[in-house]
Amino acid sequence: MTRIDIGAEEDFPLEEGVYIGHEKTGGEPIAVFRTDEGIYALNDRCTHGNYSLSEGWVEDGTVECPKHASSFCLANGKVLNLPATEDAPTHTVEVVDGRVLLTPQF
Amino acid sequence: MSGVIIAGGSVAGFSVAAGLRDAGFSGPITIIDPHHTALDRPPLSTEYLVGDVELALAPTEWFSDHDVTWVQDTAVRLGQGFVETATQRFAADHIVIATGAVPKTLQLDKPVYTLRNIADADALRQALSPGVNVAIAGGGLLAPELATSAKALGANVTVFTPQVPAAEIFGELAETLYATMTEQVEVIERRLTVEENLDRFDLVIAAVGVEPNVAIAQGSKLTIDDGIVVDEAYRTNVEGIYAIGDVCRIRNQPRQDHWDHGRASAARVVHTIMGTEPAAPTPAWVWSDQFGHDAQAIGRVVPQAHERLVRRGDNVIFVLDGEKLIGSAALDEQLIIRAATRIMTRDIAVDPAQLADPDIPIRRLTR
Ligand SMILES: Cc1cc2nc3c(=O)[nH]c(=O)nc-3n(C[C@H](O)[C@H](O)[C@H](O)COP(=O)(O)OP(=O)(O)OC[C@H]3O[C@@H](n4cnc5c(N)ncnc54)[C@H](O)[C@@H]3O)c2cc1C
Repeated sequence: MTRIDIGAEEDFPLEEGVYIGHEKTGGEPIAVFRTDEGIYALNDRCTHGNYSLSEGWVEDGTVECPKHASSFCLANGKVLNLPATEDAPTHTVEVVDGRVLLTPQF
Repeated sequence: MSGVIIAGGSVAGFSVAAGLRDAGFSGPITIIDPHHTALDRPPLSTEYLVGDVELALAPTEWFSDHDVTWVQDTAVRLGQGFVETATQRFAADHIVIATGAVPKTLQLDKPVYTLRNIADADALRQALSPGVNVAIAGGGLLAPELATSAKALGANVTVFTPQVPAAEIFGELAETLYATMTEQVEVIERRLTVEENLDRFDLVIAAVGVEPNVAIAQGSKLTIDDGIVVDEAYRTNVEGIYAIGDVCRIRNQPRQDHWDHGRASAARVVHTIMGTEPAAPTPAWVWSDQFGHDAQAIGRVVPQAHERLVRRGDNVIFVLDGEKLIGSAALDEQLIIRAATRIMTRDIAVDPAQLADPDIPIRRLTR
């Protein structure tokens, strides 16, 4: 598994998602979220349908899909409400010396 | 712990089972439904009709993982403490009726299709071949959604609508949606009746509303009046029997037939069964995908006399009563609706000037 440098920490606004395309992840697109608590990465595609979690609403350690409002826990990808019923796959992401490093788990 | 029987396993019925297990309910849960598993309906008119999409609300292993029994059958009778199919009798302390609605249709000298189930969608897919001439009748959300899909499948589409569709749901943004539709397909502004000359059409799709599917309650002691009548906690007049989703109507309120009402009414019943304090009810939320637009609305977006309409650009509206947000509708601006939901459920006071200013991030107004 490779660790990819996806940018500087300040390029990841707090409480927002950032879309990392497949050309970078080498697999499915990934959504990276930075909050006061930490930095998290989930598959970008909502497990309910073709909607982008990076465009979702980030709050209290969760992201809510912008389309039909299923929420997922940022830390473990667990789905919290319908219509989605499957958890979102998570990926390893960390900040090292101000750089954001993503290790996709495909 | 005593058990729960749920008649009807779509969004409303399934949400009861899922919600009970989430809340730690450990008694037996049985869902009776003639379909093979829990299926969602909104994609039937959009993604499912033009392509392929998973309709199941949960993978099959969900049911064994959560110890929820799925009985593929139709419930025909019920009373206090029991539900019967043609061949089986089930007993439980709590009975939830979630049998949904059935489409109204039109009597015409043409094949008339309606859309509610997967079989209806499959039949429509067959019928909507390229070049076919289809008339779609209806004044709600479904007619424009069907028109979008029929056009994508290559049909020649004519929509008959007596009014701007879904104007009570999307407020003045319904005009924008209507304008988009008239650019894309032929629109005839009148109700489709038997008087209409339909020679040029091969088929008709009726999207003219639904009727609550109350068959199971006929002959029971339950009060039926445009739906199974319930109180605000979705309790019927018989102890231990609840009705939720499209099949019910809260006494003295209009019936609601939207997805989120199915989910929200289920959540309310879960609290009653668990004996826990319900969260404040969330305002009604509706969405529709049509002609490339993502339309969403929360709360009420047609202002009353003392209220005020606030526009934020061309595609977002809010209705305010003083500093209180009453509702919002948005086209292709999903985060507005996520924000408005929070502003409303948390009862946050808002300044109309800030709401109207697209340069002020909406997120800031939710804190
Ligand atoms: C094509 C289409 C598009 C839609 N699009 C939207 C949209 O964009 N936005 C929106 O908000 N809403 C939309 N809706 C409405 C939304 O799907 C419904 O409000 C929602 O499905 C209601 O859920 P429900 O569980 O109450 O009933 P239903 O979904 O009708 O489910 C009822 C279930 O009960 C079962 N059943 C019926 N009778 C019995 C019986 N006697 N015994 C056992 N089981 C029984 C049925 O098989 C069915 O599975 C759409 C509906 C349709 C049909």
